[in-house]
Amino acid sequence: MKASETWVAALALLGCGATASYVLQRLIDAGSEPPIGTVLAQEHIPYYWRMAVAVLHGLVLAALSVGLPQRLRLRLLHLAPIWVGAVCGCTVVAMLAVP
Amino acid sequence: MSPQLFALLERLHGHTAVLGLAVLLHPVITLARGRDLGKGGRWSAGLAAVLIALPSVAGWLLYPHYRGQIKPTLIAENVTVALAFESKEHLAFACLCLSLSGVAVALAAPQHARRVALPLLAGGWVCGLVTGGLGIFVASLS
Repeated sequence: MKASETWVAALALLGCGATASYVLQRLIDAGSEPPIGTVLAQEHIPYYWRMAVAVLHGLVLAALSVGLPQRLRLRLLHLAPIWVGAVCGCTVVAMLAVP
Repeated sequence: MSPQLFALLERLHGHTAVLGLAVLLHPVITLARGRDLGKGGRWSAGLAAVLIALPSVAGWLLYPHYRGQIKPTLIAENVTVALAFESKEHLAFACLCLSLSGVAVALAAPQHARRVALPLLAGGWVCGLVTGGLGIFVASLS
């Protein structure tokens, strides 16, 4: 039972962690980037980098969750509808507000 | 990328994404009703993962061409559509992450832990729905 809950928590944190990381990176970028249309060409495509870093953050979060105490992991899984819902809701609002 | 290949990938991107969202609804509704996924539900979840991952890959292949050839014109002609396209790309990534992790939980977790898949799949579906709406908006005006 312990191993299965460990995997479930890790997978859930991987998905939500990558999503939250992407949104935060985008919000940070939006604060410093020039207005849309003023840059004609860039050497790198930020969209690809952002996705790659987000997946990396998700993997790190998933790996860290393996070390959580069992009691905390169960609590995390029990509250999954709340924090997953919060990540999803904030993502939709933030990405519509800050394209 | 040739215009023919671009048009093919663009249609594949849109149509498979809509199909993926429709298929994803089956495990979401089943889990929301408190039922076990069963064999059919597990197949639906797996198929939804493939049908959501495929348009993402197609989108990643299309993106450099869009960025180089289409985006500058779009910004000059209709900046609202260009911004909606950017929001669509961001939410598509969220849909992919949440849906794939939800499907992985639904398929790999034992029955007692499978309820965790519901918020992930439902969250992915909501992000996908908004993405699809933005996609239709962009396609209709550009």
